[in-house]
Order: sequence, then structure tokens, then C-alpha cells
Amino acid sequence: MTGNEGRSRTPDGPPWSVDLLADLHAGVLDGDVAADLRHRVAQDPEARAVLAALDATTADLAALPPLTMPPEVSSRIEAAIQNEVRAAMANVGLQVPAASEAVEQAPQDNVVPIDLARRRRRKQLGWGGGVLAAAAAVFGIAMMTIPGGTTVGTPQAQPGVGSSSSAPGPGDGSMTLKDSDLSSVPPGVVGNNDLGPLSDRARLTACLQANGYPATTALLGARQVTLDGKQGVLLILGDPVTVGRQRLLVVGPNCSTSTPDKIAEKTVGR
Amino acid sequence: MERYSRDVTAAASTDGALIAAHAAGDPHAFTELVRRHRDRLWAVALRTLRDPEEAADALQEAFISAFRAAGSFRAESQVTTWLHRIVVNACLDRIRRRQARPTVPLPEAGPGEPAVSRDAMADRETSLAVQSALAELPAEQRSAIVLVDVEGYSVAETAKILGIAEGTVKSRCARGRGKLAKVLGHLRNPDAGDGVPLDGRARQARRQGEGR
Repeated sequence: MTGNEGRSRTPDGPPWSVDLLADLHAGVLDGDVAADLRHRVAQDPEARAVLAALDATTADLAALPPLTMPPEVSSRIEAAIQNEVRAAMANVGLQVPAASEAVEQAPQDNVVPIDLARRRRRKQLGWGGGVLAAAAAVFGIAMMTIPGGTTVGTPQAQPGVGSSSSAPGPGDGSMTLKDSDLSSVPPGVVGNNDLGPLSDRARLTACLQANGYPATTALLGARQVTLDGKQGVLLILGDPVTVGRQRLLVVGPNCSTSTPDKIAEKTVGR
Repeated sequence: MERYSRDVTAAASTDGALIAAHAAGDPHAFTELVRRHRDRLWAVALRTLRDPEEAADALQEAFISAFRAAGSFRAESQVTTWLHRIVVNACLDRIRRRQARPTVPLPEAGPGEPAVSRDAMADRETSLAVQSALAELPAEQRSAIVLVDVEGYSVAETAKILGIAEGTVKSRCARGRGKLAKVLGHLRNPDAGDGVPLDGRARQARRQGEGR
């Protein structure tokens, strides 16, 4: 780092080294030194020529034409991505028949397979960092932070160990929660599709929009709940912008177009 | 709910929404994300590696690891920054591996370099000259210059992509530009005090301490 010589005082010159002038040009030097040097450089034709040469260089670089990925490269890359997708899907598909009772009760159209026992067997899924890690992250948090007092789910020391047969399936009746339970994702909700009164998709979308969530919002799970005595549906939503953060939205049965009927809303995750 | 998330792909307007959709299991979201950014990432990879085959390999490897790592994407950074970072790292890894074994010099300009329809031969010659001049820089300087001066990223964003301090980006750019100015003939009289040889190709003499 040649900038050190210019940290305390303006280096003597002219002449100045190309390195020093390039540092000045690139904004490496401290403010005072830079201002002083700039002033003195202005009096020196040779130094000015160096700065002009650096300008010409950056202009040449900026003028390089934009490149386009050749079609054969992009199709090769897309094929590789499709392989990853297929690997993930195939693994999910293969695991379903072998799954435990709890899974058989689960709705078929869950977005995230959350059965922990299944996940344990599915060691190196292509989507390890995607779908499953997202579920694992959510679950991990839930398992670790929800106190044992919650009536649903079995607190587990480690995600991926043990079966999920204690997790409630849809139709187990509504889950009873206190507002303080919403400080993290309650167990047994991610991947659940227990939408109750919001089972109609158009109704769900309208309800989400009434609460300010765009139609693009990812629904990670839903569960009918009784929150502090109020009947509603708990929706776990992926934050559309901030990955790794989820929104817990509890809405009442009347939630629809322009009727938010919001009971609670919390942001969880990082 | 797969139905639900599948619809997300088409409707998603931001990169963040796409990566969230991917993390939530949307099978199309990641491809859409790649399509949005592939040209810029291709440019960065090709200009860093200067070999189309290697650039394609590096990109494929980078995209697959991004696909798998999307769940751990830290949302405080931009998706593009994150993707660039993975791509640049894959490229620099390849360069390091390449340096660990003897190689033949790369061609002056690889195939796949600009097939733009600019008719002026002069322009084309200049850009070939600039590309081969870039090849003379150490990889660290080259990647900083490619990001800042060619692709137009800010120093701050480049620092995030490369995982280095902003001051380091600036000084790598400064070193690289000084050298390029000589190789490109903009500095015809570089006797401004540091004894730089007139011939810009005598770069070995000044290797020490650069790239930091």
C-alpha cells in the first residue's frame, strides 16, 4: 500500500511517482493530503499528463462493449440448474410414500416438506440450501425458542432428530396461542395448509393484499389458531424482500378484500 | 401451496422475491434469477478468466452453489452483489488453481469476446488492446478493475463483492490503472520519479507489493 507515504503530509514533488498520482486519482489518499497534492499537481504539466493518462485508461475500460452470454453457455447452465431442481423434486417425491403417519395426513400441496424424520433421511438433497434449509431454519428457531409450555409440538433439542408424529396435522383442531408465542415461528405450522376460512385461493390472496402483502408473497404455512381467545388463521409468510425473515400474520375469519381483520402481526427471523 | 408459489415466478418483480420464492420451493425462480443477470455475470467471469470454457465452467459452478446456498443468503446484501461475489470467487479460485500448475499463455482475446456490431475497426482494435492489457494485471487488480471500471460498480459495492475494504479496492484500481496506462501507451513519459521503465511490459520489475 503506497498510500502510507501520503498519510501524514503531502509528499515532496514534483516529480511524483505514478503510483502516488494513481492513488490520488483513485481517491486512496486522505482528504487533506489529497487536496494539497491536487492543488500542487495542477501546477505541474507532467503530473497533469499522468492524471490525463489515467483518465484515458478508465475511459478505455468503460468503453469496452457489453458482453452477452453465448446461447450454448446459457443452455448448459440452465440444464445444470434443472438437474438440481429435478434432484430436489425427485427426492421429495420419493420420500413421500415412505413417510410416517404424520406425513400421510399432511396435505399434498404443502410448499415445504417439513417432516423431520424424512428430512433426516434425505441427507444431501440438491435443495439442501434452499427449500429444506429454509424449513430447517424456521423449524430450528421454533424448536429452540418455543418453551415447552406450548400445547403443540414436542420441543426437540436438534432439528432433524426424532419424528414429527407429535406435530399437529390439519384438522387436529385449532391451536391455542398467546400473543407471546408469536415471538418466533410456532412449531408445526410451517408446511401446514390448514387455511380454514381462507382455503379459497382468491380469498387468501385478497386477504393478504388487504393486509399489505403482494400476491408474490410466499406462504410457508398456515394453521387455524385461537390467539388470546380470538379465532383466526395464523399465516407464516416469507418476507418478500428480506430472505430469512418471516412474517407471522394472524387474521380473523372475515379477512377478505379490503377487510384486513388483522388480529396480530409479527416479524421473526433475522 | 406449490401452486401458489409457482405463480410467484412470473409475478415476482424483485430479485429478493425470486430468491425467497426459490427458497420456498418454487422450481422456476432460480432460473429466472439467472436469466436476469447472466450477461453481466458472464462479462465479469470472461473478463476475469479470459477463457470462455473456463468462464462457462466457473459460472456453472457458481450458479449451482448459489442455488444450494440460497437459503443462507444474507438479506442485508443485494442479491446481485451476492451472486457476483460467488461468481468472482469461483473465478479467482480457478485462477489460483491455474497458477498452481504450469500453463500456456492465454490467447490475446478469447472467442466469445465482443461480437458487437460496431463497424469501426479502430474501436474493435482498441477493445482488443484493452482486453489484452487487462490480461497483464494480477488477478486481484484485474477483478477490481473489471468491476469498477468496466462494469461500473461503485467502490463500495465492489468491496462487498470482493470481500475486501474499500480502500483496498481503490488501491488495487490505482495500481492496475497505472499499469494499464503504460501498457496502453497513454503514459508515454512515465519518468515521474519512480523509475518506471518506459516499456510497460517490464512489469515484473514492479510486481512487489502490488495487488494489495
